[in-house]
Amino acid sequence: MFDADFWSRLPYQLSLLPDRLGGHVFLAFTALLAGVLVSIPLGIFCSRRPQFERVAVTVANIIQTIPGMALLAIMVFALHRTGIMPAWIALVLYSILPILRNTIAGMKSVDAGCLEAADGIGLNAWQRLRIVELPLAAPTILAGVRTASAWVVGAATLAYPVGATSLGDYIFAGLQTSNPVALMVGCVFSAALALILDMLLGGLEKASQKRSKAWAFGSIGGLLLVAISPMLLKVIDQEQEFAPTGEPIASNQFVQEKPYVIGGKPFTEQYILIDHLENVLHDENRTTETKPGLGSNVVLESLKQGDIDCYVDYSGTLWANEMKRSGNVPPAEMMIDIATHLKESGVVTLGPLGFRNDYVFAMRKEQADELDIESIEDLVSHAKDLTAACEIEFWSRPEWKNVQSKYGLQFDETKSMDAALMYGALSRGDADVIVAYRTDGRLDSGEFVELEDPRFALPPYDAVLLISERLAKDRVASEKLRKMINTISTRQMRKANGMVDLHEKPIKEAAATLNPPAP
Amino acid sequence: MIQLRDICKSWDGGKTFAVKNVSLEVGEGKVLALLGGSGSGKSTTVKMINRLIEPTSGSILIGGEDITHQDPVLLRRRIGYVFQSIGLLPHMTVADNVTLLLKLEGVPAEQRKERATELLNMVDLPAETFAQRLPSELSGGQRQRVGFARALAAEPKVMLLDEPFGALDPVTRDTLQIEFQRIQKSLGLTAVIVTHDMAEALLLADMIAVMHLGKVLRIGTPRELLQDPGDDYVAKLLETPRRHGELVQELSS
Repeated sequence: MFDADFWSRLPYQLSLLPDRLGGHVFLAFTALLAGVLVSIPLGIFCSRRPQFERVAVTVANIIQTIPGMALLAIMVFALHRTGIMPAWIALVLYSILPILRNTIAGMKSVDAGCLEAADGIGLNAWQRLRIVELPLAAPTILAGVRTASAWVVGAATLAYPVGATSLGDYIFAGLQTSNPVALMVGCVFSAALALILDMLLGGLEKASQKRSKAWAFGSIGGLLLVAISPMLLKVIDQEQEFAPTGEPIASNQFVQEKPYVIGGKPFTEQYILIDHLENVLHDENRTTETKPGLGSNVVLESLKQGDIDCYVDYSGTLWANEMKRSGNVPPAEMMIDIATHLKESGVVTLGPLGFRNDYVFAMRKEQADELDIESIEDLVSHAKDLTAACEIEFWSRPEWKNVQSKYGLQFDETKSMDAALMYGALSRGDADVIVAYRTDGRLDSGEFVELEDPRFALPPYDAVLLISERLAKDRVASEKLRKMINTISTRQMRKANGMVDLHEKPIKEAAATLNPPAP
Repeated sequence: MIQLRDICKSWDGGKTFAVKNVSLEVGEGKVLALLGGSGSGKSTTVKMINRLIEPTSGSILIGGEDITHQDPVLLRRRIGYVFQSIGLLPHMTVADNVTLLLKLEGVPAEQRKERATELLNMVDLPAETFAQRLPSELSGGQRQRVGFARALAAEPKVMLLDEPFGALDPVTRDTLQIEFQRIQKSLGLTAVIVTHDMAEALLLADMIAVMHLGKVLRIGTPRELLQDPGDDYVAKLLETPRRHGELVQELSS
């Protein structure tokens, strides 16, 4: 893994670090701070009123049992938006329980004699809290903050699919594009951040136990240093780079108010398309931002809300998920229906990009030859001895039900696994059949064979370019994007995907192979 | 100086009474001992004087003023309070513990230091040795001396002592009792001391009020009580120190 190639790709990944570490530190620190500001007063209040304690701790407990990913998803739906806000709120909620529980425990553990003394010598309620209770409860409370910080720093990596920048970008993108360099950078830095934060909070805890000012100042200084570390990295970064000369000049006197945000779903093809779309818009001197790796449902919602301005979806997905339609119609008609439907929610459909990324059944060439299987039809009689693998969502999709009813297909066993892993599983023999995506470059390795679908059970998945109203109003840019229609063939897309997934080329290089739209 | 008039305390809205119809008076510079077993209401009674416990009914006067309508925090700052578990703050030095209240009232550091030295010397803890120690570095007797010094910091005229010597070994207790008496006399303090030990009451008090089940059974000077217990329970309480005395005399003769 740590070969020359790895080291040569490391600098590029590290150049992304200031932003991602910055996003991560910002998310984690502010969420933890908010958690402290909510939980400590709540804990103090609860420690005095046992009836509230039970309610508050139960609620906090319930929140804690929700898996991190699910809590983030709930927040996206509850707030009706993506980005940093839902991630932040989820993290704040996550940090509450340990701090709350320890605050209550700490307050209750304060020696009754000290409290009697505080009252007896005439401290008022605030003085008693400040001088007696909080200092004595501090070690316990800080232990809670420390636990919360470990959880929050860890959970912040999950903010990626809802569109907040964090070190999770490395991990998710690394997994989805099989990029070990990104994965390694993400894991090393999020682990290091968690460890350093734990050490510093441990120092603060020690300071409160030993009543040592030196320890307290040292730890707080360290925390501040970590908080500003991304900015320091940025400064160093800028000093090394040469400032680009010449500002981009807006054509046709068009003044763009803020960058266009290009969204994408979490798989290789979408990363390449984001880069391609960026290139096209940059050609028109438009500034862009990207929000890659959004969940399949989140991404369209974001476009409707105007959180993103442009992305590529697939006709079959929109047809089944967004429009809740079933049954096959000719692709051209489907495109018109989609455009009409999306227009109501302020989304402009520019048209198909040309390639199709529908589901395809694939087997090992060797085994297919041996069993003489060329189509799904041929598969039926052998299926009872075969294991099939696919992403979990396929098994509950109408396409699978359609295949079952049209062919009567029944496998010995069906497995669910991440798309990035199923090709390996097929190659190793852990699965005999996989349901792959047509444009996946890994199908091109020569090891696999695609099965025909003579009964048309699997609907078409044409790539569709969707843009926001804001972008549509920018005539020059949207016309340029419209020229991308029918410019990318399924072959080309698969080849570009293969460059990334099989040959570990950078996304940029793969995107550069796609045809630019006509001038 | 201190007057309790018809004080009652009930924790359950009047069904039962922890203290019932207690009336007491302590003259200026005098020491009153509240004597009784556990559950007799003696601690409850003394805590109502600095309003750590609010009386259900009745009035309490200090220096002629009804304190049940005063700000309890300001009231407590005028009254020295010493109790069995002492409650020194473990995160502060002995000097800071003693002068905490002065700090809150804005007395400058220099003056506080002076006062701490003076107070620690008064309770026989040389300031140069003890001022900067933490409570955890002191023995039980030394801690209670700090407790006394803290109670005296704001120059109170009234002291309340809730079994102050209860947790100490007999020799230390004896020494501290004598020192308390010396300080009390020299400063002219009016004090109420709660104890379950008849010998302690006889030694320290000008007046003894014997309490049982929330009521005062008998009030009198030590001499009066010894001459005429007036009640079987009081007589029984008096019997213990008397028998000890006789035994010691017998063995030494």
